[in-house]
Amino acid sequence: MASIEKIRKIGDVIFSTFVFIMAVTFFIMSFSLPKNSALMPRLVSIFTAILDLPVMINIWRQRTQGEEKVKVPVYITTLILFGYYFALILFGYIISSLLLIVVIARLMGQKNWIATIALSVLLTGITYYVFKMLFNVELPKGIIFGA
Amino acid sequence: MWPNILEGLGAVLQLNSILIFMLATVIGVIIGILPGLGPTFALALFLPFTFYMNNASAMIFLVVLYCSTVYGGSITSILLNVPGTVGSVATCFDGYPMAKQGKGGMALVAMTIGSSIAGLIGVVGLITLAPLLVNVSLLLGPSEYFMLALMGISLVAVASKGDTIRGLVMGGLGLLLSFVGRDVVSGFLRFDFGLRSLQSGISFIPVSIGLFAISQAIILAEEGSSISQAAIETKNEFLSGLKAVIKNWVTVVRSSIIGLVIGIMPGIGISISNFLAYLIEKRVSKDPDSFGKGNIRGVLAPESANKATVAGELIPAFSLGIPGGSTSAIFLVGMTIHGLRPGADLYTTNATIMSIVYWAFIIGQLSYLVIGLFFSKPLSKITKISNTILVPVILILSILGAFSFQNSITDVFIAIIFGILGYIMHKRRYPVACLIIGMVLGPIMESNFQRALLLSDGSYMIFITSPLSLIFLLIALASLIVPPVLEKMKKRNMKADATL
Repeated sequence: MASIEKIRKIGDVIFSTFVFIMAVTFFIMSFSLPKNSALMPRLVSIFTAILDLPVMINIWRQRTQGEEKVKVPVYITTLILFGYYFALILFGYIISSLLLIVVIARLMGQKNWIATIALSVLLTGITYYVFKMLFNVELPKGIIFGA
Repeated sequence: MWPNILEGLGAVLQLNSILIFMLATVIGVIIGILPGLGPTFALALFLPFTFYMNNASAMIFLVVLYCSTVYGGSITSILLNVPGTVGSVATCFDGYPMAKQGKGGMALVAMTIGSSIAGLIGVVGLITLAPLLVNVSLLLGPSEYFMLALMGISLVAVASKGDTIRGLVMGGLGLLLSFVGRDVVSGFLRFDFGLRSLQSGISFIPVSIGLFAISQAIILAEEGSSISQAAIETKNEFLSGLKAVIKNWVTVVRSSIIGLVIGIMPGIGISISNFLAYLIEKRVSKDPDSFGKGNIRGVLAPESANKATVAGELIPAFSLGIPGGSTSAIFLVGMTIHGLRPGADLYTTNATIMSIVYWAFIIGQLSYLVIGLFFSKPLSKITKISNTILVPVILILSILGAFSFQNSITDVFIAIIFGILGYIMHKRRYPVACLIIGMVLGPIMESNFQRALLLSDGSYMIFITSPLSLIFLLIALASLIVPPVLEKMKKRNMKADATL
């Protein structure tokens, strides 16, 4: 697997390029808008693209330096977060949160299963109670288990 | 006036009122600590509960809830690098480094005391200056507001950690994101890419949760261990915090005045005042390089400013019915529901209720002072909790915060995407705050830009022929041009000295 610094640099390249593409896209799309609605977006997109260009070139030229040891790399956390998002849709808040906490805690080195499960149950339970019962927020029930 | 002041004081010192103070303070601090919720969420959520209270109790509850939620957001800025509100972002710059050095308790104490003093200065401003300063804000037209917002973005880009050019790019990106959805003036739909979920725009609440809270959880997961490796300095943290405030009383007063003045200008608010105060403090400091590394003044300045802004935002709200921000807008709704109309009536027919509001502000500062000082020691120990516990807690609360805002699963997705972007931005020196400020100021900038052009029949000269507008533009340009020029001159002089 690529080093964490290489991954960050790839992320940086993608991000700065995305900003540039977004600015250009908004500029082009502004021509299909009425004059008043187009003016500010057009000016801002020109300004953003011009300033981002040297940033992008600088990033492309930069060499990756050094190596950092990390506990849970960002690509793993990213996968887990997206997994959590789809689990929220399918299974609802309670099951997906119980799973998320267990997975994160174990990946971060929590070896004690009892402590892991206790943290998971307590955190999910307390937050469910506070948000559902006290704040009256209707938490996701999931496609499989609820309406 | 004096009989009203005494009646107001009598009302707030009743047992019923004291219980409401305590309840609102605890609720407010807890909500403030939760990422992404903030005072707007708190007031919106609890406003219906005030329907069952009398006018005096309702106003006390709302005022104290407002103040203590803003205070609560500052706690996590220091301890976790996660600002609870956009007004506490600049506090992270020095507050979090202090927590990492084991000085989180001292920073909390200093922040609490400084905030209370600033809040009291804000209340004094609210009481005495409202009629005078409202006249000044009437001088600001659309072109002045546009330039003020532009100045705000440039100052934030300069004040934030990281590259100024990258800060401006992020400001531009924030502005572009704010244009998604409907045009604020004409309502024309734009940049939705055919997606229904984008038609109502991209809300800055899930974006800010992602950028600050989720990204921080990703970083803590990488780091493992705990936030503070250093031993926590618990000895005399109260005394050291108090000494820091006394030693830097000028910072507290200066920043409070900045916060008060910014708060009076509708629409600008705590999103700018904390940065402006931070930047000014850094500029006047004899040791500007120490900012960003755990300088207590870097905590006191933004915190004093944002607490004074809380009161300042209510000046145009009370006098003209123009809310200073979304939170003061909800506050105004609460007042109206309880039969209190903004304007002259507040100071005549409803003078007693207004004196209760003022006393509630004053005692509200004292109530979170007590809670904050009492809990600063245990709270500072959060930095020693293993990240194995902190990371899941932050993630779950962030997801809940993003979801609760509009009961929308799409907001959760947005928060996750921006969490990953925020991680890249943190690691690669992009000032995250600039993106948020761009999103917040985007609608203000665009609506005032369009209005200014309408007033001038399409002539751009309106932006430079107005003296105030020109002044704001020059400040914006000076803040961007002067520092790098001075830096170059300094390097040239050092080189010349070295060759001699």
